[in-house]
Amino acid sequence: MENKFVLFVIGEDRPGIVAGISGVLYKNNFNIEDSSMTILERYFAMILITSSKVRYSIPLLKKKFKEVEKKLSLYISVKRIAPVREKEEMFINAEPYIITLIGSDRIGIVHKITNLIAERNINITDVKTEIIGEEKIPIYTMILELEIPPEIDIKKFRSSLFRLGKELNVKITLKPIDILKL
Amino acid sequence: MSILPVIKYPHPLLKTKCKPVSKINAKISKLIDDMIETIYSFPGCVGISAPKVGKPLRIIIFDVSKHKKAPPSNHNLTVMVNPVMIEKKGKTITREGCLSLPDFTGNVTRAESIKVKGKDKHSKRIEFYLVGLESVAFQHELDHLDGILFIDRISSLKTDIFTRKRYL
Repeated sequence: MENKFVLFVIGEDRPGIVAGISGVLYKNNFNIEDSSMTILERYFAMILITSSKVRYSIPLLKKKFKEVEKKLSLYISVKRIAPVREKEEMFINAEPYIITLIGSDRIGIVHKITNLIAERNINITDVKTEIIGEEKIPIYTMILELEIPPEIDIKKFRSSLFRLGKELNVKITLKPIDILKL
Repeated sequence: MSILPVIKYPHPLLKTKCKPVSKINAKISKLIDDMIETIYSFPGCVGISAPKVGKPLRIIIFDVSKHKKAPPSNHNLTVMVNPVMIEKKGKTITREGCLSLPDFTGNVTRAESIKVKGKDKHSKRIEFYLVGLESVAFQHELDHLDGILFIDRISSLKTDIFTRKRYL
């Protein structure tokens, strides 16, 4: 049976982080199955799903990363995960939608909008946020991708988002992601 | 008629330049009918090309009429043999998905309006203008005839390619 691990890595950005981490995985015969890597302010962050034919213990795995962790001043965390499950029933007929939000930055935007989404049992599949504009007038932007189940009334959902936008003084839009299937 | 199996990346035929059809004989007519049945067997699918069903020939079929954003001027079900794009204008970005690349969707920039020519399934010469989604569908399928996939036309990994989603 395959052994799957998720690996979280974060550290002050510098050349060699991806090469260092993937080097340890390569030397120990790990396959990288999926990954997401990005820069958050001054930090480089990685999330990797890896698999191995050998069943390593977590402490042994952590030990293998010790050297690179120290050398590149990284924070590394490893967790064993279960094999991929079958697609869940609730997402099969869900339609993809995109929400965009733009407005003055303030505390609580992320929580309020995501809470409104979660209360309706809508799944978020992707989130990107960015602060744009000048330092004195920071503008917060957010893009969320969702899977909306068929039982959700889109009109009602859209007006709830509109009301939240008024409350937070931000502009929120909701639209379907149209995919041309070819 | 029968539904044909769709080949998937990295099948070598998806990287092959397809040959023109010299004559629309009974065999080609059957292939066209089968491709029509195949396209309608996938809900929401608006286009297909012969290489996608494993035949390296210059035949494409599209029908965007059922799509909610279909241009009113669309031509419904259209079969084009040896299709050529002779004019193109404007730019449009569309999130495309492909039966041969099941786990990806991507934003692709293509010409907004085009003039195309070719032959229909009765060997009659045809020439017309396509706009919007119909233009995009034509260009996506024409690319298949030259071994080009939509991922070859992605310009930014960060903003143009979407993976892992359960969209298709």
